[in-house]
Amino acid sequence: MLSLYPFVGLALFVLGLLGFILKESLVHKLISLNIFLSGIFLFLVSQSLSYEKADSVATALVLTGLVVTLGVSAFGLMLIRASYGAKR
Amino acid sequence: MSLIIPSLLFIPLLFAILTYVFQKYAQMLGVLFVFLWLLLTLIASISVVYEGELLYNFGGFAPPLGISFRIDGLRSLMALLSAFILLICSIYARVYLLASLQRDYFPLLAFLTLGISVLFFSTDIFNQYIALEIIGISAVALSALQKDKKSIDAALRYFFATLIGSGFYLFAVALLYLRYGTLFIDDLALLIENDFVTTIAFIFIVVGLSLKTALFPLHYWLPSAHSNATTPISALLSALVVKTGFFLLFSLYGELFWGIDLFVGKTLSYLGIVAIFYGGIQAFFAKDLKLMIAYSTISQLGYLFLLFVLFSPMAIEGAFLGLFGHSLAKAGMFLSAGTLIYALGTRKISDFKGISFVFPLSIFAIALSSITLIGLPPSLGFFAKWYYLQSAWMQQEWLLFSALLLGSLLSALYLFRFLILSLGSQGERRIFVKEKKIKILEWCGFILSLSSVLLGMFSYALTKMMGI
Amino acid sequence: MLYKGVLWCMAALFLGMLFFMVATMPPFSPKLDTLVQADLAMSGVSHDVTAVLLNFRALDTLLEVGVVLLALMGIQVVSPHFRYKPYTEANTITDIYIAILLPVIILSALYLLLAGSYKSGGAFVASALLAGGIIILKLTKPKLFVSLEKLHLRFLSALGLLFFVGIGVLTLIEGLFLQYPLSYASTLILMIETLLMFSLAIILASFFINAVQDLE
Repeated sequence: MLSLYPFVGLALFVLGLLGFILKESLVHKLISLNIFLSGIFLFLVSQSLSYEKADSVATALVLTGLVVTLGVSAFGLMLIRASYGAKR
Repeated sequence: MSLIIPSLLFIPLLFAILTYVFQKYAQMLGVLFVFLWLLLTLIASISVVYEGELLYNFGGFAPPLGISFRIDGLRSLMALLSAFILLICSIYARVYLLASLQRDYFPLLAFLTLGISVLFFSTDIFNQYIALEIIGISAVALSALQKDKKSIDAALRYFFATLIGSGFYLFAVALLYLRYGTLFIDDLALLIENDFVTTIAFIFIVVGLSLKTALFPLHYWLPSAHSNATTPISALLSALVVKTGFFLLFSLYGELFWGIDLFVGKTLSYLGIVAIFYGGIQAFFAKDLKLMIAYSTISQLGYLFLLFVLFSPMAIEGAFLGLFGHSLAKAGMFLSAGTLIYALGTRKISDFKGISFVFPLSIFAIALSSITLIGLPPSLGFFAKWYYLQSAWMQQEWLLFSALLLGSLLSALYLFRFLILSLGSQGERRIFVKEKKIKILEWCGFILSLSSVLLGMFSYALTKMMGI
Repeated sequence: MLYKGVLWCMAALFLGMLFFMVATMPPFSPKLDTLVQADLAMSGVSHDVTAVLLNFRALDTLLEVGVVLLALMGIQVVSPHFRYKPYTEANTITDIYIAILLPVIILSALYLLLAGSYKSGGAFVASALLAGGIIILKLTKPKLFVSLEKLHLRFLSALGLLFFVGIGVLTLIEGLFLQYPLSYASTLILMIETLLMFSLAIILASFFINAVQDLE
């Protein structure tokens, strides 16, 4: 029962990491990191599928992780803006 | 007694909310909080001594389903140490920082405490991920507290490093959960096998947490973040925040991966050796006082990583004695250096010529810290290195053995460079009006440095309390 | 260029290794899920994910709300750098748009909140929707929340977490931290979710509004 989604998740994981290394702009870096983290979440929830039903604990972990990521990236965006604002 | 563990969780959380909402009383509440926190960790340590390991299931559900906290000797000692450093740094911050910065400082400090407490006590690897994020965000926000361009840019680099680090840790947690179907560390320890998935998860944990602990090739963010933050925060970052990553790595390595590891522990140790010399040489050539102390942190963190190739009980005791010693000494050193920088208005090392005639207490504190960092008796650093050397001798790790001896020499070089300069003759006679404020600041640094030396005399009792 | 090429090749190799790992991984055994299903009756809700989030692993959720509040604190630490004046002008089209859209948003948020107890949904989804509503309102009527006192705003954004911790402390009276008495479990969970929804909506909207607040 090999599904495609875990592989997509891993590909996003690696691409996000690559984007983080290659991109110059700070906003690009942050978005790359978001892609990287989303890849992990997609991988976790799709790999835990059994009999077409998602594992409840894995789903809860992903939901928790998403909210944490949301807070972290909001803070990161504001930090980037503060850094640009301080240049002026 | 069953109240003590939940209060280790909800007291920081409650005070974080209260200090955030009632900004007018933030300073009063914050000082109340750090004293209360020291009291709580003291009670926890004492009850661990008398009752042994404490366990607590949150929500009343036993571990694989719910989340539980465990407090043993080592964890309670780590918490007690961090509470002591938090207390002294907060008193320093209460005097040193502007009132408007203190309003932001105390809620973030309470959240940092919450993260540290959850990271130390939790037995659930996902719960520890959230703790890592809490520590990461609050540390980044604290290092950006000054709001000038330099500190915000340093905080931004730190932010990316810590986000990548916890992302790697999260990936490893996901892999372990998918492979073994549980997040409880004791269950994982029973189930763990040496296969491809586990190895990959292990490597991700090691890379992510070494990034957070600034091990040699991944240390790029540390010098700027630690030297550009405002003084009490530099002390907190160097003394506590980097240690949390190390502690998590140590506990996971000891409980899960020790049996199946073939090469990673060795690699970590050899990188640690490189870090000792790299950090030492950079510190020797640094022109900025705070930058020198930050590079010295990189060098001293290298000693902690030597643990992973030895990993005998004696080496573990040595590593944690070294950790306690470094935390206290480095916090004391940062605080004293910050006092000097505040009084003189300069950070260049060459400007501190002959300063010991004006600020003898601060220079004495830095000298005491140096004793611990170099590893002279009777300090904690001496016993740490002694245990390490014995362990390396018995396991015939001659490279480590010589690195330990040469590393001490190197730290003596860069620390004495500053001390000799400050003890030398004054170029021009400078007169400073010493405010009462500066006296308090000097004493804060002195207490920390002194305790790093004096605690060395109790190192046997400390190793007994660790219970390894 | 060479550096980039080498990086891409390394990434491809790395990805291949991860693919190999997934392909050879033993199938996932949902051990915890069976435990969850067995204890679902004790949780006070009928949806398994909500039960995990707000009962079995409620500590995770508590800390996660803490992270969101912490992010708001962090944002407020660095925010004074970039306040600018938003565009303000009366506009009939946006007025009518808001009058139609806002009630729908509030109703859907409430529905999502209540649906959380028996199917996918819950406080976080509802709060995201509600935060969107608040942001639209703020964008169309920039003067709206300016008179609100900062202290009250901070209190409202911390209220959900405060209530959650408060419930935890109250449950200590006869049990462990966050161990809901079985007969009150569903009521308590619903109350916590409702307050969390309001607080999180305010926090999430503040993330945005902090950036576009007008200079005073």
